[in-house]
Amino acid sequence: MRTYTQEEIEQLITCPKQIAEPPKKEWRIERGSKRKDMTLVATADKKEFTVFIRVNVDFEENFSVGLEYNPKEEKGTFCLLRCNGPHGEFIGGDSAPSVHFRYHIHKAKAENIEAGMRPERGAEPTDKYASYRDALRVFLETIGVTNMDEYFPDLRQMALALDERKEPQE
Amino acid sequence: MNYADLLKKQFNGQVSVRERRAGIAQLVAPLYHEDGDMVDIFLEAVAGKESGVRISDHGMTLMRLSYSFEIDTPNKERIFQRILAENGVNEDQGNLFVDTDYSGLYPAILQFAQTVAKVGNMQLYKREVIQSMFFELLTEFIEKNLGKYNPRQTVFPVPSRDDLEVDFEFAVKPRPIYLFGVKDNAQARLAAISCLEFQRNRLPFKSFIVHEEFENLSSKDRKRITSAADKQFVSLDDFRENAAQVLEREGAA
Repeated sequence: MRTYTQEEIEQLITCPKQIAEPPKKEWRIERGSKRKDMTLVATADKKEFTVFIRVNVDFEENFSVGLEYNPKEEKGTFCLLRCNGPHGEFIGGDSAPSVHFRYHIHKAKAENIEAGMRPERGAEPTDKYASYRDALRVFLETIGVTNMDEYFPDLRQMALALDERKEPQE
Repeated sequence: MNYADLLKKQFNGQVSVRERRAGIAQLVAPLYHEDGDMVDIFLEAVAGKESGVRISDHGMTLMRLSYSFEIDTPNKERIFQRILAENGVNEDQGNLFVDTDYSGLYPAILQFAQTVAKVGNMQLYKREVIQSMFFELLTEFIEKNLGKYNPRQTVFPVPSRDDLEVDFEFAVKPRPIYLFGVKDNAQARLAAISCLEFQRNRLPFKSFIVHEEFENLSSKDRKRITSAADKQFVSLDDFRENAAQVLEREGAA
């Protein structure tokens, strides 16, 4: 795997993207988790990305929404960003393990790639979201999905509603 | 002493438990995945069994694995089940679990965490990571089992075309067999083009295709390769099972 600068990583995360293959309307429930996937393409240079959405069946607060980059110049994919629910403790980017179960975000770091570690190793707690739906909206906005309203029409309106913690229905 | 207190004692005070649902506690222990997330281990009493404890993950291990890897082939399933069996861990609809009692809790948790790590490492079997293994395994099988057909690796039947490469040539009479290993759509197309070019050059040969997984090709590529090739093996297992017999028949023809 080639090395990346942090600027390159930030650019990959935030560059404008279009949903090329939308997720299916219905969840795929498989082996204890609800699953959806979609494919994104960068508007400017057609770089390819995939998004996975996972929600644990037994613990709905245990979810993960992630962005994988599929570089054309080399084989394989790696995770650029993952928005997680409060599933447990985690090691922070530059600190001792968080002793609290908190919503947290994993973001790829250049030094992790350089060191041969998982790019998204380490996470930071966040208060940008407090539910799966909120996390999905924050995630899609962060990664620059320009046509999110086309496929997730209720997501932004739902942000204004008070019932964000109920069962996801999109 | 309840199991939470017992665990704290056994782990020298380095663990705690947190109630996640009524009767379901999550273990907070210094056991982490490569991305820094804590390994998800849940504890609950086994109904009807005094001092019985179920250690489980409530589907979190396979959920995490599915971020970038799916257990979607019989081979992957076989490996997954083998990891579970060798470590004494059970699965119920994605929930990995092991039942133990208070006395066996400490070693059982360590064994369970190790199993979770092994299942998580199945992502190393991703196609792009192990794809070279297909050719390694194909080569190994041919060298070990088909030596009597004089296999020659990497052959260019048209001297002026170094872009048309055959993975193995078998010196079978009356016509040599050109074998192509195919692991994806691009290689299927290249094999199909090569076969058609060899035919256009009026080379006497028969073409064999060994697919890593025929069903994974697009329908158009399946049609192209089926039209161009003389004989196809739909998987490496198919080739292993039938190659000797097919080559023998070719030689006898």
